[in-house]
Amino acid sequence: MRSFNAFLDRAVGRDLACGLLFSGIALVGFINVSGNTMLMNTLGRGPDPGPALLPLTVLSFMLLGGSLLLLKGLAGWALHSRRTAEQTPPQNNVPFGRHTHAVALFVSLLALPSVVTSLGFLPATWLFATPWLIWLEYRRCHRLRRALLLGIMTAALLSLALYLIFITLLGVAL
Amino acid sequence: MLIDSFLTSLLATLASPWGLMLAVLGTLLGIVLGALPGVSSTMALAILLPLSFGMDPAFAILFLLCVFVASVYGGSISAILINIPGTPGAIVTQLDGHPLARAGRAKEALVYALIASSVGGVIGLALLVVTAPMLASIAMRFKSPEFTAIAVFGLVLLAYASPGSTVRGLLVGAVGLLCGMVGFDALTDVSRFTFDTRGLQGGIELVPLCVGLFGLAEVLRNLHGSHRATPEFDMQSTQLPLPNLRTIAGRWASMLRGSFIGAFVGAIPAAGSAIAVAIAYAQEMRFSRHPERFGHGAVEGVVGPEAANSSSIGGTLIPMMTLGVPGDAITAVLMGSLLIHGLRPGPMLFAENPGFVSSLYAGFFLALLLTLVIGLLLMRWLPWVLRIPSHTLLIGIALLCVVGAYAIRSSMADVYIMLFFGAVGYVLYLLSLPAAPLAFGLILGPLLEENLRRSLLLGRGSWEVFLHSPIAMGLFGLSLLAIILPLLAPLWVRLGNDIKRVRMH
Repeated sequence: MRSFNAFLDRAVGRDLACGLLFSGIALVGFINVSGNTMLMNTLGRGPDPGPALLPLTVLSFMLLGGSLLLLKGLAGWALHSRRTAEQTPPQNNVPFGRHTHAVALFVSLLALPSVVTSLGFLPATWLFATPWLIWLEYRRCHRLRRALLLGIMTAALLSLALYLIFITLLGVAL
Repeated sequence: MLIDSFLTSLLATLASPWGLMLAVLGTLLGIVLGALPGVSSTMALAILLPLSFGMDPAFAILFLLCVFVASVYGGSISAILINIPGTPGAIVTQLDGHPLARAGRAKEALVYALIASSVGGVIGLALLVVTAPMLASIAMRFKSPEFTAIAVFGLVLLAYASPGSTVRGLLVGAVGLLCGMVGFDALTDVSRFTFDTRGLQGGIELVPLCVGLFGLAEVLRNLHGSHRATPEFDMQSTQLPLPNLRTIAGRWASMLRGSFIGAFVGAIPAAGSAIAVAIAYAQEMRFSRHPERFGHGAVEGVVGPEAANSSSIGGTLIPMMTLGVPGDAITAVLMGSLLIHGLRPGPMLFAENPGFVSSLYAGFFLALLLTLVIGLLLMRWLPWVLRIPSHTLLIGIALLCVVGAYAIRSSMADVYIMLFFGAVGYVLYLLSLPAAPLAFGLILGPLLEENLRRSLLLGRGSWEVFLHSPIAMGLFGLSLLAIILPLLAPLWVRLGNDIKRVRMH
């Protein structure tokens, strides 16, 4: 995982990753457009270029740009590997742990809508916020009792504030 | 006529207790969020955007303008006190603001920043009021080919000015264009990029995209470092009496210079406040009799950039109001609010909804006035905001993003779209790609496609229709130049160096 971070931190790695990303999006787009017969049938019919023209133009541009970035990355990689074979390898000093919080928060947020549907807004948001606030407070102060107390109270206040603003005041049906 | 409708709108807002309350609330939230490190003006606006859905369009834009204007000033509080700019526009303020605070002159620096912000804001507003109707009347003569070219030029320019390379910015913009095509085509009713998912059939709304891209992605980015304590600062120096008015007025030249620079630079699509403040700072240094003081607590180093930062708001609103092209990421979010209320910014807004345009001017003026009044009244307590633990704020914002995305259409699909773009924003950050062109692409995509197809229909399928429009050809030429220039610039530099080397030998 450390090497993944070091890879992204290097310009060569970024070029390769960006190239793959844009080429990948373009390929998925092309497959989707070409598989849509209704859309493809609109091409070249009368003066209106149809709804397929712009998607195909944008996808072609994206594929070209992505491929060029990929080529640039591959060329840089080839040069880089030749150089590193002669010199000592670089230190991978960026910890992967910097992404764990982001990934964990994202996953818990993905689960939140279904918890809200089954438990209701107030308990679900409180259940979401409490462990997060306890953990983040503990990480800051390293005192468990303080983290527990502050986490539970702040989560309750946050959930209540959001409930009052969105559900009571703005009438959002949650 | 213009002053009459402006005054009527201003008085109507002042006479409405609900409108006034929203304006005060927006200003307070804007100052607090702007002051918090890690919460940019764009993020503040994106997370508060869903609150404005249930409001009348005039009140919604008033609330958001108050957040926008106040957050710009709020950004200078953390820049001065803890040397961390709250917003990108305050990046230069910290250079001299923080040394002033360390020298026990924090209150003085905060007051200078506030007054300069207010003066700059008024000048930016004046430029907007004077130039926007003129530009709109010119733009009203534009037809589909010109609007196609404007959309292309806007997209290229916005990608050009984004951090990183132009090509990468353009590719992110292209992803935004594709996002704008999701759903049913308005003319033929053929579906595009829906992947047989019902949630995508209605298309991708700008608001969940902005909330995810500028709100949630920032939370994901900042969460790892949220355990770090806020740097300490001398609270005593923020509790001193206000400096006298004559001393403040003595800085009029710096305020005016900064204001004009900010307003004109801000009016260039994509130039934004960060470029405006850098130019204003450089100019202040050039005009100063003691340039050596810059970086060590020169008051002009705070006044000029802060005036430029605030005046650029008026400037960035010009392309948005007159051409429907967002001036920067913040105006893109603001456009989202207008679109959700059925108001399409552009020249037709002046013809079809002049009352709304006047209420926007009045709202902007009120936002400046309230920022000045609330800023002065609460200056003693505002530094306490910096004591709010960042992790509490980040979890609160994450929840706000989810609830806010749902509140748009009471649809869970919008929540998942917001979460998706939050993840996309984080991936873009990891790859050092600019996120803003994605929003620009989504805004300009429908404008581009609609006008491109209409142009070709007018030209009976022939692309020659563009050749007959000198404005369109000029804009296409400039777009091409903006793409080619960054590719050729390194070659040009290398050629110059080679020539120099040959001459030396």
